[in-house]
Amino acid sequence: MGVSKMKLSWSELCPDLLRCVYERLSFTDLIRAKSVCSSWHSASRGFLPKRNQNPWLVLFPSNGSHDSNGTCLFFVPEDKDKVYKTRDLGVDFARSRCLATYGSWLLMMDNLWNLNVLNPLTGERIDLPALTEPVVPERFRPMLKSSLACLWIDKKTKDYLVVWTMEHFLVFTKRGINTWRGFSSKYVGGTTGYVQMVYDHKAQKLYAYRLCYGDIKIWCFCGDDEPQEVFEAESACLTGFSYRDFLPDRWRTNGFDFEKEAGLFTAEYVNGWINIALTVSGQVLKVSTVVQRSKRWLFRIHKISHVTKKWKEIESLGEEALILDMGITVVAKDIPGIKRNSIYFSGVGDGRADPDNFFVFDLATQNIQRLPQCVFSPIHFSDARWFFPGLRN
Amino acid sequence: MSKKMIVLKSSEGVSFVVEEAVARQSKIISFLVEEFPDRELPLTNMTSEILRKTIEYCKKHVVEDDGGGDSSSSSSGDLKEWDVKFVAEIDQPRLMDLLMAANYLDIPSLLDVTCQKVADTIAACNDEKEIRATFNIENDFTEEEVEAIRMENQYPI
Repeated sequence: MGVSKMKLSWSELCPDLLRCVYERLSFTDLIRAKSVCSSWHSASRGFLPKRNQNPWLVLFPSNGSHDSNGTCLFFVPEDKDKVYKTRDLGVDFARSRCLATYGSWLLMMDNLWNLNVLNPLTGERIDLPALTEPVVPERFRPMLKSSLACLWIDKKTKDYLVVWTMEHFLVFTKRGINTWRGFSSKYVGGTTGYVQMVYDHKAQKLYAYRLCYGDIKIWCFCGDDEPQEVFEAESACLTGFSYRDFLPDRWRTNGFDFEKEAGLFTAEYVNGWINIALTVSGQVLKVSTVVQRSKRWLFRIHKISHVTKKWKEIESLGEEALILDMGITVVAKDIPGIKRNSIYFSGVGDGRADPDNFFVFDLATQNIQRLPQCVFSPIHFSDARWFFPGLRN
Repeated sequence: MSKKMIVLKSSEGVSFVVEEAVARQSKIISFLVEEFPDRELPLTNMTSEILRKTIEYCKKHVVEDDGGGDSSSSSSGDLKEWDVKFVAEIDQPRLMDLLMAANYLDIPSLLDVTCQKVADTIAACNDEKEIRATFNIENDFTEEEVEAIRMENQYPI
């Protein structure tokens, strides 16, 4: 035959096939693979680790703590004793605040209240519309410092939705509308103005928890116009203080016992928070957290009973793990290394700069598994969050 | 009723007679069989050795519709075990040929197991030097490029 075909080398494998291989690599292995040769390197351009993996932690530097403010750090649990640094992303992290994360995207606010959506792995960045006068009056802006927001983004199409709390109302923007818009029912906050939100893209519903009423408002983003309010979990009224959830029911115990227990509890109480989250099946959870003087952490989880429309305590998350600051649960068996029936905690409110506030809490044993010391030693950080590049849309 | 057979021809001109159901796991062959029934299909970029391996894989993975055939479809657990053994026996140079054959013939499950084997081999290496040695790849970066990659990538601190 005399077929003298040159044997191909592994460095000549076509980029598409290389990417099929890259999809199956962990973050560290991918870094190694793309440092092998120039063609393996160029095939990795713009490629993100796809494999389901443990949530990472993204850490933001505080002012003056770092040689370059334009970088942030990652802790990747599978590489136990390593922390990774991003390239300079051109963002002044020390003077910005991360409002939310979704997949491999961060929602960042700069010191002039401009929002952008940033992918720290690829450097891609989407600037959100500037705030305009009728929607967000000037006087509200200083309050935005402690505001909350909710991000959803499709990793392929880059369609996105951002909902942002102003003091007493919500505004939103999404891809293609180039402006911020208000919600039809203005009054969503309360005296404290604290609202936590989660978005269920499958159902196109936004759930917002109102601390002062202890209830949940739901909006549907089904139409092209402004979101419509829907009523599904309207009752479930409870005071919005998390410690309430740790005390016995006042009406079922006699007054003396209740006062005694409440007294003991409040003497130990340091701080508490309430978060909401959505399970894989779309069920809303309310998660109450308390930290005590002895540095003990307590968690209570409630779901809304379909029958009574009231919060009902649940003992276990079953096969799921809860990533608290993202407001989601994931099925543990789909992700090697993630712990079922556990809460991935990363501090709440002002507690995000304290390494003690980052841990995995096992609901069955009540044990706390802290992150390795190396995560926090190299830098002083102002904020950190769980970061989930392997999240499925 | 006898099974319909088709003929696949390797780059060396060797003919392989295969049950149509077996060969149809390749989306390309499925298409070609419909376009050109009763014709020998020349696979000019596949050696006999790789074609034989590919057919072996397809025979194992064929799912019989009637259940009465002599090639029995295996349970998924057995099949997985068989796959592991199948790729374990393939050496480095042939793995690349098989990977490319799976891609060329469009057999998703074979592409999956071969890519996984490459990924596992990379993961078993301690650093990029070992990957280069394992896959016989030359380091073609200049010093400046190495530095540039260091700057561009996330890297351990």
